[in-house]
Amino acid sequence: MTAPVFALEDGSVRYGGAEAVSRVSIELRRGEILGLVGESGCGKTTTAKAMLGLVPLSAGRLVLHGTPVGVKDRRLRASVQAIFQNPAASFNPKRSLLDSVAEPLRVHGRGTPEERRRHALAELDRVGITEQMAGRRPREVSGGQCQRAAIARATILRPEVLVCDEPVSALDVSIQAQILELLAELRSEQGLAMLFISHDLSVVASLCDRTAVMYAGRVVEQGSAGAVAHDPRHPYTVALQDAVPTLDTSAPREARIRTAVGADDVDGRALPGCRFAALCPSVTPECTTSPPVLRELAPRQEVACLHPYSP
Amino acid sequence: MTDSLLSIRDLVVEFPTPAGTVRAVDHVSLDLRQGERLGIVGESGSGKSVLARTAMGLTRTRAARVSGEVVLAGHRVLDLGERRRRALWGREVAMVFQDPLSALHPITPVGEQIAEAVRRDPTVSRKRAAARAVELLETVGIPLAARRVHARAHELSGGMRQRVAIAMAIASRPKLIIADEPTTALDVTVQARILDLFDELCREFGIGLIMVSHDLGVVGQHTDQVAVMYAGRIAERGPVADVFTRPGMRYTSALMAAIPRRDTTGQSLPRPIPGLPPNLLDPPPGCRFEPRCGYASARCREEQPPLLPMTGAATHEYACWHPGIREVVA
Repeated sequence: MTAPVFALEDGSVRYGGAEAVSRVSIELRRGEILGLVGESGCGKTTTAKAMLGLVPLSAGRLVLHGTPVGVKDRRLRASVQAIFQNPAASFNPKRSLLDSVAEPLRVHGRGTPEERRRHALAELDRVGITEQMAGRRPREVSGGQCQRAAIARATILRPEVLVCDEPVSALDVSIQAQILELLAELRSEQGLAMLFISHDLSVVASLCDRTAVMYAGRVVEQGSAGAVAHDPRHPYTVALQDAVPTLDTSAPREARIRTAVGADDVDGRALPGCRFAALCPSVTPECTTSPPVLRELAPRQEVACLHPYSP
Repeated sequence: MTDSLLSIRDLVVEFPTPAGTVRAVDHVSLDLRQGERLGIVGESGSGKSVLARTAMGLTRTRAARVSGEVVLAGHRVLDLGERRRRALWGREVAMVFQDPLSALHPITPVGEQIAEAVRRDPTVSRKRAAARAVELLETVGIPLAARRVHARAHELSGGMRQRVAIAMAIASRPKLIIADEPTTALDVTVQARILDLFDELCREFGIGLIMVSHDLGVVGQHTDQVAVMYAGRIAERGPVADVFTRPGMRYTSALMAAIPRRDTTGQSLPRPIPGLPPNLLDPPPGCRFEPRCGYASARCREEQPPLLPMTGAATHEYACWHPGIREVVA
């Protein structure tokens, strides 16, 4: 396996007294999309913010091409870019898409105004925005077109890493599929390394190469996207996959494990051992003493559980 | 039909705007029997919410031009005055919205809000209503209901709030619940519990359900009938299992192909539908899906396809000149 382009090593983030993310390691490789899934409040967006240098790490570090980088390092700014769920909110409402997409070139002092304009138009064209549409303001275009422009702006400096936080969640399915296709193209054509955050397990299974599952601030399972989708081993991943309503006839119709997840509010972060212990059907006293660490159960599949699920 | 719960005939809902008239619902007819669950699916702007709201008389006649006929449990909803229409809400039909926080009062304890809904029936005493609120919270699966009646909306999780909203909806034992994207704002594990709850309520109390959703999986697993809407019209409808295994209308199959699937992992992306839905200020004259359809012909451009039954399946109807009927290996 190739060395990661960009990694978060053992990262933790604290907000006041609460630890939102606890000792999470994420490795992003060239031409590979890592899906990060989990439910509200599990820490996936905080993990993304930490990797973008938008929130400070209370422990751990960021590593770019094998060397640690600080959050204010210019290398981080140039190499790691991001797109978000609501693209219209990330654009200046009074400026045209073209102006906004050319802006990073101006900030980095690249080319003359005319060169920047042509470069930005080319970049917009590549994501499917015509010259005529490029002159419009964010609210004059659809959500899908706005997300395309956001992708053009994020990739115009040719970053190596793209962090995508729920980039298709606000879009209708027919448009969502267009954006997924575009991201897959960026992966194969530019070899971008991507972190793709989503609450939608089907989206992640169809786009991503690897998947990491977060629960209550920790990664509980990670592996190839296929293994996590079809052969989940952490009881939480199993419960999560079971809960997805789907038209797939191959998906299990009955829940594979019995758990109160989704019905009960349990603060997993308050538990000393495994954070899923209070909801887990396979819990034993050992689970509640110290947090289980990720261990390899199968090639390319790691699970942080003492009693992994097997069918 | 004697057990008809809702009958919609030729419904048209138009909104005048400065730029022209938007026809959000265009000659839609639908039927729902008692205890039946109907899913309405479609993308943003397809008219699914407007249709559902008009069916219960929520569309304000001052803002919209409504024509056609809606008969809900024997009442001609569109002909009723404001007061008589309101009298239907709660007793005949109740609505559950996407965001329960905006449907609940922020300060009044949830038990009091439910009791208030119970006391729409004037014969119920205050004390009885309070006891009934606890029962209702138990019915919708809230643990420690006797204590939770004192909670305020913000003290509850999203899933609990939606359960409270459902408890209020069923307080006066309506015959029909209209749920507009009821689980869209919830996590999948919470969504699964809420959908199970709807199933249970329909089964045990014989309540009819209209579930408006953009999620074909939700509708596929938790309703009996489905109507697929596109640009204000019904593109296809019928028993859920039929529609999703043998889609007739090209839009239905394109929509199904656009959904990411878990069973096809790794570089097997969903197939996008090119282009955008039509501008309803100036919709295409023929089939509304024609500009985005790979199978369109001159006829599709000129002539609007009617909703016709599929050969050998009278209850499965679709509107398409060039249907691509084949079994979908789901």
